[in-house]
Amino acid sequence: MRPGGRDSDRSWRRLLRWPTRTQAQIARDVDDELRFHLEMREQELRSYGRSADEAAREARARFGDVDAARRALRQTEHRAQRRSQWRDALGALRADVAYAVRRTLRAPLFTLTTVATLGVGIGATVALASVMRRMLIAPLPYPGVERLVVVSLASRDGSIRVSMNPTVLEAAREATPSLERIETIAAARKRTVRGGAPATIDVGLVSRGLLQFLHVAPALGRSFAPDEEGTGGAPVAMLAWHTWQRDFGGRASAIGETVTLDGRSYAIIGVMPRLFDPSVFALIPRAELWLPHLPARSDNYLAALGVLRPGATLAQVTRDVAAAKARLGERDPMRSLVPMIDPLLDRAGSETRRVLKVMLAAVLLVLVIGCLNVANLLLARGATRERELSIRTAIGASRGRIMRQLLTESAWLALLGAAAGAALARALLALARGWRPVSYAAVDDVQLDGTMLALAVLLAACTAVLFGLIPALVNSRGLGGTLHGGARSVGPGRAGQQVRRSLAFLQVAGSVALVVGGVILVQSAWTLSRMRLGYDVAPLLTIQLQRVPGIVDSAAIDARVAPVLERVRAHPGVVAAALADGAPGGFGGCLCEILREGDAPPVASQERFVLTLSVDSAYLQTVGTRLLAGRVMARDTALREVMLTATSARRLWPAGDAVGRRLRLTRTDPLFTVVGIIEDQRSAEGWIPGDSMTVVLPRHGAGDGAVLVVRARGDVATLRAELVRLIEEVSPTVRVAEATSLDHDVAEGRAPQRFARILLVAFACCALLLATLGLYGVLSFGVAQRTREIGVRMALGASRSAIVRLVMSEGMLITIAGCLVGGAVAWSGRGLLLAMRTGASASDDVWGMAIAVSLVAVASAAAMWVPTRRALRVDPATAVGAEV
Amino acid sequence: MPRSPNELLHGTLDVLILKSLVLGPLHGYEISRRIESRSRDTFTIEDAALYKALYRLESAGAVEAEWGVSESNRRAKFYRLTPAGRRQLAAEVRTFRAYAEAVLRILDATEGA
Repeated sequence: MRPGGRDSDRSWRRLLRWPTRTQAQIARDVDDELRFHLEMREQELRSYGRSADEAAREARARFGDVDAARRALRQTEHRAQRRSQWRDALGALRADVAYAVRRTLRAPLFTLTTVATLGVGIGATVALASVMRRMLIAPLPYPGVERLVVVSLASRDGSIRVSMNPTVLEAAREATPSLERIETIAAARKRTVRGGAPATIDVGLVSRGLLQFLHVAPALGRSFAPDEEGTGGAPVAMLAWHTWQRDFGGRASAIGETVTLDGRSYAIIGVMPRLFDPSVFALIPRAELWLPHLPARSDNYLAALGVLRPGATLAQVTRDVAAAKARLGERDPMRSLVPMIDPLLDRAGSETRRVLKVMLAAVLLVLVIGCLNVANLLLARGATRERELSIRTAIGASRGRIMRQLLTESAWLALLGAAAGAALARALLALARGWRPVSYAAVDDVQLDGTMLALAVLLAACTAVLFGLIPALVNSRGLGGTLHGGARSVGPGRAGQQVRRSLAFLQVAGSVALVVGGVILVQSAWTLSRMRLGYDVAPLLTIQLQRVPGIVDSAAIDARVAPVLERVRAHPGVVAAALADGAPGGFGGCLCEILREGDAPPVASQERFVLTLSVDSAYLQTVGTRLLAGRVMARDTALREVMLTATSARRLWPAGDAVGRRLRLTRTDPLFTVVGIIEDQRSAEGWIPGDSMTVVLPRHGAGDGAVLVVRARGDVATLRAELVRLIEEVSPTVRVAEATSLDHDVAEGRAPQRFARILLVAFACCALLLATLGLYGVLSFGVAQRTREIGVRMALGASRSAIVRLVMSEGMLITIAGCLVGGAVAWSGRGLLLAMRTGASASDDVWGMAIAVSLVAVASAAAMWVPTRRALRVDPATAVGAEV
Repeated sequence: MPRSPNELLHGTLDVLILKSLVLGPLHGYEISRRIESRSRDTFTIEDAALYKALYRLESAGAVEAEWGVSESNRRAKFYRLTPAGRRQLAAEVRTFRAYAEAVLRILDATEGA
């Protein structure tokens, strides 16, 4: 190997010697050399007096095997040539890279800005794309998953959807030819002991057939056996991957240990694979443990998953299930509902999907704005290098060579940006794990997998081409001219400035769109925080009661809840306590038609979802709901008194005279009298769900699933622990399923909105910062280029305000155009934000736009300030004489 | 066992080629002539072996070739030593000299005994 010191020397000589030769040229050269040798030898021999024939013979004899030598030499030459081509290419690349590295080190601020800009864009995009891949694209990465359809029941207008009913499921299982089979998945809340303390966990129930169909292989241990599925089967459980990691430290010895669920001991037989998490489909909550599912059992969240027969359509399945329901006739408990079939993969968090899509659009916009910024930076830098490049061209560098060098520089920057982005993406995912809303539990599994890293590299490469080629093209145009006229000619700068202005315009437009989105979300969060939900949030504690399994007699339970309530009310930390069938803001209800007294029952059933809240007489006072008219209903259920929320009352009796009127919930029900109107009850997100009615009924007893609402005096956390202990002491047959403070529940309910809001605001800030930098760059560059012009104008007596106008007009033009276009885009796209905010009016949005545009205007003014001052400080004498 | 000169030559051909180029560029035929005349015709080099060695040295970077015009005004390929070739030559001469001296010492000692 040759030592490196002489490389440049040698490659220079090699360049002069000959360029790469074709195979034919190599063959000819070898032939020429050998022929020359033989002829010289013959000549020598003839000079000793040999005849021509003898000389030729002897020359060949002394040479040896000429043909074999010729072949060997040609081969050596080919090989050498290939090697040297590689060496040249590598050498050129090394030179380009070394040059690029040197240049980046020489301009640290430029490099830092570029790498940070790209890093933020790439990092955020990759992190979000990783999350999307986990939650939307490959939520259940098993073959056959695309054939699964969710069979659910819905009201005729499709607005209300309920989970599968066991009776309907049984009927559908027997007669649905369009489905190969129907499998089930469900969830239940069970009490267990974790770390020595009692806890309530979500347990998933899955039919063995579903695991088999998807070929879900346990990560450890074994799956359920056929005899473990029946009621008589041994109690066995599989751990969810995250439970195994968190509670068992990922130890293989977890297999064979036991867990206690509702007092019964289950043997752990296996661990589910990491990516088996059906909660991403929003069918069931995230499960900590898995049990085999028995379809006969009645569960929460029962979901029926059909396997579509090849060639069958969704419409066929709908017809089949409807026919099965029709055959049930009177025995169908869900007569008023129709089947609704949708592919499982379409369900992958339809709400989440919409939010993530908007986020991805936003983050891509940030990436594009970042790229525009970098392109702008490179372009401005390229313009200051016109002379350097001209000189290189003049001494013989080809246009291709210069393009290659510029591309290498871009690629090097993009590579640094990709590395920074990958690091940032990792950090962001770690951050998101600690900070995600409960419903995004699958985020915990998201890893920056290889595909996503490849995506980062691809992004970097695309970016390199994008912002490497634009400056290269702009720069290589008219390079020759720069040397001739000296830098005094403004020629190439003009075209460049035009491109730079367009880039800045796009940046401003993009950032306006994002800022509008961010402002609208912040605005809606503010509205929500001031919105009265119809009940107090802060000092309330909700305790869900559950009967001990095995006790069926509800009268016996009521008898036992009464002393519990008394003891709770007597506790010194309790201001008031009441029983209801749900926590405030969480809605239960029924499908029924509300008929006003005197209304003729409609011919076709017009059932809709009616929210019912059945509460005892202390409820309103406990939760702080205001009575708007009338009185509180009597405790005696036989009086058939109800209350309505304000909106429901107005819908039923628009004249505002609801109090005293009578209604029925279904056509077969007796009449109820409306005695009072209360304020509207809203969910944590501020919705009044659907267009439904809310009817408040008196509670006649505490059956299963009662909620004890407690208004606390002082610290809620200690009171909660004391009350839980107290309740279990007083009544051994009543258990606390869950006890939380209401403000915690509300915060949890708003967490997805908050998550989306923080992300979008962060993106909007990035975009605004980038656009400001971009605008600043363009304007200050423009001023630097026009120093002479400004100097001449000043020398000719232009006023300061004229100079300010000169600079500002450019910035204003870009800003106004950007605001108009970006605002138009944001306005047409604001519907996308619906999923993330509580119903805002058009006037809210107009205000949001106004605020966003003002923000952008302030940022632009800041961007214009420094270049304007610089222009004003131009000294005419030096400027006119200066080489710019 | 007596060895033929050609076999002896084999390992040292590279050194001989490099040495022949010390004074300036030569074409292949001149190299062969110079080695023969310097060794007072002890070594007759098979020309094929000479060229193979030359090409090998070229691709290793010890010599470089350039087409030029011979004294007889014909197109000929001239080889010249590169700095790397010069260093290689010096190193090999040192090694060879040490080797030859060692062998000679042994041979002289045997003769004296």
